[in-house]
Amino acid sequence: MNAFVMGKDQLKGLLNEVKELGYNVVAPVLEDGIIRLCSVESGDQLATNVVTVQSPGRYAVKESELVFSFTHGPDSPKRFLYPPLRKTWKMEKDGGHFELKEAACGGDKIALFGIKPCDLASIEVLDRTLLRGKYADPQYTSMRSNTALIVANCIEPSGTCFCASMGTGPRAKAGFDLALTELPGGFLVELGTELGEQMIAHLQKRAAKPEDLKDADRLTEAARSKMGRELDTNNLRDRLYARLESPEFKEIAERCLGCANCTNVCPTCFCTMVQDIPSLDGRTSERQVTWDSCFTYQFAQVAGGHFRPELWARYRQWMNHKFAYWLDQFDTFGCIGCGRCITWCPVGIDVTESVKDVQEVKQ
Amino acid sequence: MSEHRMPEGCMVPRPMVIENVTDETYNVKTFRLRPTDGGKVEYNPGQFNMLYIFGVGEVPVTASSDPYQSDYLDHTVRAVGSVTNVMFTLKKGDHIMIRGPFGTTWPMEEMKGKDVMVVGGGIGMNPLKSVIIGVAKKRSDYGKLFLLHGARTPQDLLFTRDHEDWRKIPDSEFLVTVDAGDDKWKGNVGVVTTLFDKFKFDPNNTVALLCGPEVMMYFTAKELMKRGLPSSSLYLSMERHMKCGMGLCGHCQTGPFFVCKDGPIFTYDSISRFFGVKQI
Repeated sequence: MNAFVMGKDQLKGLLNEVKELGYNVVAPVLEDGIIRLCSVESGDQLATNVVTVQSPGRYAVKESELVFSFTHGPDSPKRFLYPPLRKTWKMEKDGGHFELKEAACGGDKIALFGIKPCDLASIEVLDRTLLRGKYADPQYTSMRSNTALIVANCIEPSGTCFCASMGTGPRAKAGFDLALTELPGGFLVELGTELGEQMIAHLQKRAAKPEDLKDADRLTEAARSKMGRELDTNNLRDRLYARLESPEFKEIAERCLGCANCTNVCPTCFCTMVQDIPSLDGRTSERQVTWDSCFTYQFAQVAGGHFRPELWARYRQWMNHKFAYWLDQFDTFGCIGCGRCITWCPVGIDVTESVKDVQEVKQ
Repeated sequence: MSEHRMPEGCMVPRPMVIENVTDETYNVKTFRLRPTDGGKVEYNPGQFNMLYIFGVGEVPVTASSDPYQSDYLDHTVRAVGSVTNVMFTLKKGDHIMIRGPFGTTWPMEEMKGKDVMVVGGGIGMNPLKSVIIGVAKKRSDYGKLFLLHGARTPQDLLFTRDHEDWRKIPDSEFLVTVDAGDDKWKGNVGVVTTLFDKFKFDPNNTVALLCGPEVMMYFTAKELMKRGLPSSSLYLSMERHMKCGMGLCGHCQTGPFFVCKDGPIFTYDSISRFFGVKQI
């Protein structure tokens, strides 16, 4: 792999170079004390010199000498590749004649700048889920054919991180156009594609030396042990299948609010609601697809019945989907270990603890 | 990135004209639909379509028509929710739209040469009607045909206009029961499993197809296995909340299965680990 080192002052310039290539650049921005992913106009908007402090139900940022090594906020690539509200089509009815007025198409060329390795892995999970199955989501497929990925490897993970357990971080191995690792004296820039090469063509840089690569190895390896959470994934699916009827789900549901924060911040939760929005005169109707959550009461409800009326069953659905069902469905875990569901849970339910708890057989 | 082509009719619904509306029971009607584009509507028994009422919404319903023709579709619908209640106001000449067909099929090929047992509970008879038509049409391809139909009351029995024809199918038995009879009812009373004492079948040469409320399918499956039917000869049709029909919206998940694309027809063996688990 080609690797270079660029000065830390080149970071904003790199973003501008990506912009020059015609991309809508989505990058971390500090907003209301939170790292958000936003569409940006220039590198000056980029969040820098902060790190995040995260624990169950808590999130804060603090100043740091590290320029670009903070972990994520609540937003994930999902918000841009699989937006919360999408229009599938619009149709006009005139008696028995139906005319398709608008049909979904893809969006801009999007560059996701500075996403973490776990979030890169989340895109792979979404790809397996939404475009490699029997049916592909056409909008997602189109978005993915126009995505550029610039990863910032992790050297300063947060208290709710467990990507090392899920095998998705702290360092991205493949699947990116560019990967940055913050070293004491600059950024190691690893090229994944020709597009990545174009991005840095006009930047000041030097070829990486063996000691630069060693530094990056050392820093990202050290990050493994700094993660606040861990999860034993060995044979996890079968262990959870053996505990489908664990009474512990009811204990967890005593604390769970069913608010769906966890599914909204989850980078891989893909469930959607399909709704038809008619115009007031009834002549046109628009089909909208919006994010939904298996925690909502209506999710598994049908006219005349309800398949998951109780919250403990909805928690089980979500947790088992992530760590068991997903493997059968898409040959990967549905969890990438980002810890967002732990941080953004209003009551601080820790999914790594839940997974352990339901396996415990109490006397 | 690999190329993915969406099969026709997956995302955008196709207009159909209602050719005929038949009252089946006090709350069930059959709608015969013909494509306005003059094209064909092919499907296999057990598959469903998303029926769309313009501006109102969609519901998944399995077709109940003759699977050996492709000019029209029959969809038998019970008025239970916001979409089906609107559907009940529609008349001949009105339009609805469909997406589909989606999902897996009854094992019409695999059961050739074998005896076929069809067990339908209430509206669960709907997805089985095309099997009955299919077996009757290719009668020599299959062995004996056992038709078992249970309903809550005599008024809930489905396709009563067809019962005379079904009784005339060669080499078949047709048994009906209701949970609660009325003054006029002279037939069997009891849940559908009580019918198993009233006839004999060869468990080693029978394939059983079940559709109805989950609790009915659960006890029917147990009873059939108790009587020696191998679990590998059991098929069932599952129902869940469905929004897309394509395994993308996530609503229909049952354990690791998407009922819309991995089902709705499942072999008992494939789903047994999760079937009957409360609120799965």
